[in-house]
Amino acid sequence: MTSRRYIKRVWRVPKDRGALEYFATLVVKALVKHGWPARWKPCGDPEADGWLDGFVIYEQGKDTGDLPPDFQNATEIAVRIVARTYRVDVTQHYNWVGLNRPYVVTTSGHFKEEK
Amino acid sequence: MTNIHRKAVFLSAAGGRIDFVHDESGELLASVAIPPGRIDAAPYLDIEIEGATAEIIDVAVVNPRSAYGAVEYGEGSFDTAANPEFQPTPASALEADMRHMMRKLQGTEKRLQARMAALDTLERIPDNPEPLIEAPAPSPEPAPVPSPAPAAE
Repeated sequence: MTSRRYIKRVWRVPKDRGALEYFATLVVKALVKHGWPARWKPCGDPEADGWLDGFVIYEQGKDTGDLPPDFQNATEIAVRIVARTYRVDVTQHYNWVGLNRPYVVTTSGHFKEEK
Repeated sequence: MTNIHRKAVFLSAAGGRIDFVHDESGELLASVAIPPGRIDAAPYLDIEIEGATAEIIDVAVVNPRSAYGAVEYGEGSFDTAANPEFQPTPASALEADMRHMMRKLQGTEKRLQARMAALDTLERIPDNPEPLIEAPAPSPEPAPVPSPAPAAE
């Protein structure tokens, strides 16, 4: 079930639902590809709280708490790799990840900064 | 007389003369005597009479030797010192092949090592030691909407 074909079939990455969901799906996809039972859900209301647009990564079937240390390590590496690949400016605090700037996802699947 | 060199000499035992003959009428305009012996030609070359051709009579004109010359290296100078009957043995051809192959192998090994070192510096996501056997991952894409059932009102 962790085959490449499974990853490609099930983990479609949506390009039309905003940069946050796109980024979160990319990270979670990379984690699932390496066997980690990762899920994500949006966190915080950027307009109400004045926070960044962010999401939380949690273990499947568990509450959104602290991750196990090895899972947390894998999450940090995955976020770093995806951010470097797509040149996205992100902030990570434990299992919370936020985009520092407003982005738009282009049709070719790249992050473009919104001016 | 134009083809006589400036440094030429006139040689004669009994002396001679230079006749200046008119080109059109053939009239002898002037005759300049040359004393016997070895006489420089330069002062005689200065004499010019318009419309007349100079004829040198009873005198040998000796032009100076050229300042340039080629020195030959002599017979056998360009022969090679190598043995002309030499033929490479098959053993030496084999050795050359072997050396070539060894060099190629070494280059390949070095390249592979460099690639491996570059791969080691890459950051990778560690694999989960206990991956899920079942991964019921929900697709973010909405499931295809089934055809609407007939509305029961």
